[in-house]
Amino acid sequence: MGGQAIHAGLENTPYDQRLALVLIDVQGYSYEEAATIMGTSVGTVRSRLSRGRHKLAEYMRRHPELLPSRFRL
Amino acid sequence: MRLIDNIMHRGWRRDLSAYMDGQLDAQRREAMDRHVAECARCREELELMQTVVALLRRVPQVAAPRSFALPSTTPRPVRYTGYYALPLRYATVAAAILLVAVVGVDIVRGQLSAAKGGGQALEQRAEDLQAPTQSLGATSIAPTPPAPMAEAKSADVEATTAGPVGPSAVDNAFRWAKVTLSAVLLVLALVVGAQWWRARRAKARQG
Repeated sequence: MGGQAIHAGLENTPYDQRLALVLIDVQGYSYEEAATIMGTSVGTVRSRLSRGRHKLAEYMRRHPELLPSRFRL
Repeated sequence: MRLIDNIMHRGWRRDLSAYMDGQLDAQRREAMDRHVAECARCREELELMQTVVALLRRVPQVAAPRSFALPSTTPRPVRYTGYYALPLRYATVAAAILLVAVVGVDIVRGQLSAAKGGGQALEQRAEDLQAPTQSLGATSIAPTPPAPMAEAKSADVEATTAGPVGPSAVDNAFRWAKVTLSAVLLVLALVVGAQWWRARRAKARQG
């Protein structure tokens, strides 16, 4: 259930932000490693990750039914 | 008032992600600690973001295939079945056989002529060595007339170069094999070129 919600939310985020989310939050790379992979600076990665997380949080807020009960606020 | 509050909050919200990951410097982190303790809105946002990150970390990892470029199943080779397929196949086989034959015959002939050339040179040298002793033994010191000797030698050379009927037939056959090979290769090149041109035109028409 939660997995589906996250996938749907990820689909909803722009590519650059999604890439930062997948590299750092899903695959566990550091900010520096993600910056190297994405060919950009750590500051840009931090900014993209922040915007991606906010977008995903906003998506979850709009679709609370997609979250598992223990994650519902 | 709400607008100002939103603008002020934008900065705090922007740093929430880095704050969560411990990426802020000490001064900003302390300020953020104080703000989050006071601001219910940012606290709620932080909790939601932590939930999102916890869910992202639980997303199952998909094993990457051996190569992103290669498909998992090996594609079957596409066999050309056009109008020229059969003649093209026969022509290719003929060209391969002729090529092997011509190269093989050329190598064998080269070795034979080298051996023959070496033998002739040895015979010639032996004749040259014997000639003065014979002339000395047969006649007195009087020199032998050069003209008949030259005639005889040239006759020998002509006989050697003309050779018997066998080598000449081989020469002719070899020449014809080379001509045929060139013709077959030319036809093959023309057919392949025509096919390439047709395929290119068809692709351009589709595109």
